[in-house]
Amino acid sequence: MTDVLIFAPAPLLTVTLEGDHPGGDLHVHSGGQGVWQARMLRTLGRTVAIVGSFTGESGRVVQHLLGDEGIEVHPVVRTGRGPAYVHDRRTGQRTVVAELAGDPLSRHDLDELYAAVLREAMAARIVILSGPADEGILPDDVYRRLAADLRAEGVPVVVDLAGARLEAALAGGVTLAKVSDAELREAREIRGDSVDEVVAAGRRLRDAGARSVVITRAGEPLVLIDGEHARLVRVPRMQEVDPNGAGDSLLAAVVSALAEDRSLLEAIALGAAAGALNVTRHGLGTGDPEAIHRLRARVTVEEVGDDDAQVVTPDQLAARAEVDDR
Amino acid sequence: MSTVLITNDDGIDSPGLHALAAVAIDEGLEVVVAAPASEASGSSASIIGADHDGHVHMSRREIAGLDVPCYAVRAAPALIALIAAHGAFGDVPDAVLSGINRGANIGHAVLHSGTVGAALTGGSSGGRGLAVSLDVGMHPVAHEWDAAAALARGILRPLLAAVPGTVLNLNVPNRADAAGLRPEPATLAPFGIVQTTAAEAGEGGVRLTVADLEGEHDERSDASLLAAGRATLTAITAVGETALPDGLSRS
Repeated sequence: MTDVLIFAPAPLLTVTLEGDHPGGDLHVHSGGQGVWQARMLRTLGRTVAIVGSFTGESGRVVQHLLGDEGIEVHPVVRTGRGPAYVHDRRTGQRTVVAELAGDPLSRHDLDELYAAVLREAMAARIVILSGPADEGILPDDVYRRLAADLRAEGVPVVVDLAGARLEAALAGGVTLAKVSDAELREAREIRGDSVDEVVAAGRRLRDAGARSVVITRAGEPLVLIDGEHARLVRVPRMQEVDPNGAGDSLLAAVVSALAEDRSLLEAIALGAAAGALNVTRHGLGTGDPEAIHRLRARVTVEEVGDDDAQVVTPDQLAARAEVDDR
Repeated sequence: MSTVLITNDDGIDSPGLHALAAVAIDEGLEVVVAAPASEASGSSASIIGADHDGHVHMSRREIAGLDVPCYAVRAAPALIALIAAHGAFGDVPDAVLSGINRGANIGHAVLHSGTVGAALTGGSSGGRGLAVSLDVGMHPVAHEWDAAAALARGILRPLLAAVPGTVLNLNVPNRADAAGLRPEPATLAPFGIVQTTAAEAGEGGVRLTVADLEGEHDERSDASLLAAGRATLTAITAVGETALPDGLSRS
């Protein structure tokens, strides 16, 4: 039984030139949302499998790199151009040398990927459906069908998606959806950043097809909709070095805890701690399990109260007494 | 080695509970954590809990940093304390440590407090009790659980050395330096502050704080001292007997 299966339709090859050494230094890694989630889950001690497509020369390299990291790969191998990027960070700033979307997936590739996910999910505790960077790689409807079929198989499904893909996944039904307030704003689900608005948007997402919804808000307590309950999860604010990847760290820590049978609240608290810690370092999807557990002790979870005062006097309480009509 | 039960009414996921358990462990006590699976604020010493089949259901939990048995129990805190006193979790605890509650429990209003109810139950069953509450106020920026727990740690040994039946109610201001405070002996305010649950809807309701600090003139009351930024300590008694009124007292 694998702890976590990740559907990563098209893992990337990432090539980065860094300036730490005179003359420069070349870093070659596998990347993409699903890969970053997988890497973080490995750091947290989970067993991880990826179902994805691996295309052409870059795909071969990516497959090997994943294997070296202890990630079990169930590949759909094909010829053609795989997704990749080449960045130059020698000046300290990131310059994009090339960003290649790669070839879209054919019907046949999709069918193979689909079958692989359903098959491998039977031997996993929990599944993450992740999205490739590029919009055109696979149709959104795949997410709806996968979510629905995985739920029918009884496997918990977690998603960190946005836009039409998220809508599709919700239509199929997921166990937990993670979104950011920035994504909600872009989708015009919220206008400002008040807790009430975010809670309302979260409830709409829940109603659209998620058992629970977690909404991250940069520098603010995150909102958790868990059935009827709306909660605020606060974590001490850390000095920001690099905010990239905090959402992935959060999601990985949540999934890791759920795979270990912890309660949703405990998992979210750990995720909040992981996300907060991630901003203190460079390197997407890195983490320190010990530090996460220590910081978790300072995470607080509270119910989001009504607009009415949460404090009443006994007189006010008595005044609220009313006889119900039959 | 003394055994203590850690419970609360904010529920098993409460960081206040975890902080209290951690200091009890650090103090070298034998610790069992058993707390409501969901919030039970305002349950007083109610022993609501058994399911339709008449059994009290609980599940084992792993709580990060607490290497002791932990149980999420579908019951109010006082029931948890009661069954603990009758061996439900192994050795009968020498003391019930209840908290750290999110919100003060002060004044005579603690009659309605689940946190205090569990502590009182500990005292009624041949053990002792300590209720610990953090005065978070309306919109806390941070929750200083660890500081409050460190303060509570200093009371554990004296509590265990006290006679069975001793029940203490400790309230701590929400300050990062609370560990350095000396808890001051306090009387109970006329009403005070207590937490309750409004609108029980399915899995549990919304938390409501009921407070009345009007007519509070005694400087030595828990309400006055807490408002002045002090930690307060009161030895409280549970249900007891007193003299019958004249006219009813002839035997």
